[in-house]
Amino acid sequence: MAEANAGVVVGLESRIKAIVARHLGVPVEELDVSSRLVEDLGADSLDVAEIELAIEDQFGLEIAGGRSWGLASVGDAIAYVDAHGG
Amino acid sequence: MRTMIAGTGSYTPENVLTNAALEEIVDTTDAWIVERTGIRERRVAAADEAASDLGHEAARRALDMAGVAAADLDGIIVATVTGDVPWPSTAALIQGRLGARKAFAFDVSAACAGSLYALAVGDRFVASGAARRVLVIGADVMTRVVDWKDRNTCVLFGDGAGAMLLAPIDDGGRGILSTHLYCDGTRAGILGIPGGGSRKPLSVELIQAREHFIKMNGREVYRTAVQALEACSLDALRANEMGPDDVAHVIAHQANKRILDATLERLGVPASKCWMNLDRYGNTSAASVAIALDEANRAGGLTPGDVVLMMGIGAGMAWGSAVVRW
Repeated sequence: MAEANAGVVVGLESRIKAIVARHLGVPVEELDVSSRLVEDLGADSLDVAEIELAIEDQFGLEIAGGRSWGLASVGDAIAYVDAHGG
Repeated sequence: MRTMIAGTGSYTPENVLTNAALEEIVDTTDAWIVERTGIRERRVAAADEAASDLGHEAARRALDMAGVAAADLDGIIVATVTGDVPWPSTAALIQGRLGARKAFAFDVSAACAGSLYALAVGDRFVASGAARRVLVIGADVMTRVVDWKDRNTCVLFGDGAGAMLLAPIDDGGRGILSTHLYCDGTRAGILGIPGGGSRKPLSVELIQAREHFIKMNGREVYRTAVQALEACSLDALRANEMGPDDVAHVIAHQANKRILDATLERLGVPASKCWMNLDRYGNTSAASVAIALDEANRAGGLTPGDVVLMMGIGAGMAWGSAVVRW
């Protein structure tokens, strides 16, 4: 059971990283769970908004009632999607 | 009976403020501005130009195109958030200057959605038969209300005005087919000017705190804009049993190239169908849609029968769309 869950989380992590990498033009290998979008990856506020929307679209979720969820790091995105049933 | 847009006009001030010039004023670069917003330059009103001056010139050009005399106007509606004075309305000032003696006049406040709101209102007057000649003007002098120390906002805005002369048409399916207006007042705090009104009257302290300037939460505005523009465009198309492929032209509020690109991609409309001028004018608020329509019109691209999808969103947040069969 733990292994199956771990598989799901790993799948989620690679999907999130793919979205972030594509939007910021950064190689996926350079992304870490702790990578901060603004401080480490050079994202601006619109990049963060675009990534939030892309994640919501891909996982069919609305996380903060249509508002920004204050996404700061790759790890945040994984945690939010996991928590909201993505 | 429907409403047609019988004439269009626009005016942007002569003085050009380039990104290079902005590098001298605030901590930014041309490359950053172009990459993040798509804006290369914007127009700045002359010291003796206010919203009514820009609007009056755009109005004159629309009246000339339509061959209508100001004295024949029944109504003047001006969308603005930077009127000459807090009151009386900029529409009244333009009415007086045009000599449009018969015309009622009032301003509409819907920020960057102003043109769409004013167009919807004007359409109601004409299509109902209550008025025969209504001038809808979008005019804003945003460079007078941006904080030139805030590099996140001061690079985005420019000055200008656009006008649309509305008249009745009874020609099987041509004219404004529908208009759609929306608002989410719970998002009022993400964009606007907080001071100088009845909530926080003008004072020395207020000016020192720079609260008489535009404040914006870019992330929230972007999110709201992309989702709202997609939704209201689809509403407008569905209301007319149309889809994205039926659209010949998109006339959209010119705020930021990334908002436009994201919205068009979501709609499935090629960017080539959307008139773009934000690289030259930046965000001219209520004037934006009307200027874009005039430029598209004068470029000769609008053929009778073409479906034009119009959309805009602004502080409120307020947004709207319209479908016109030209």
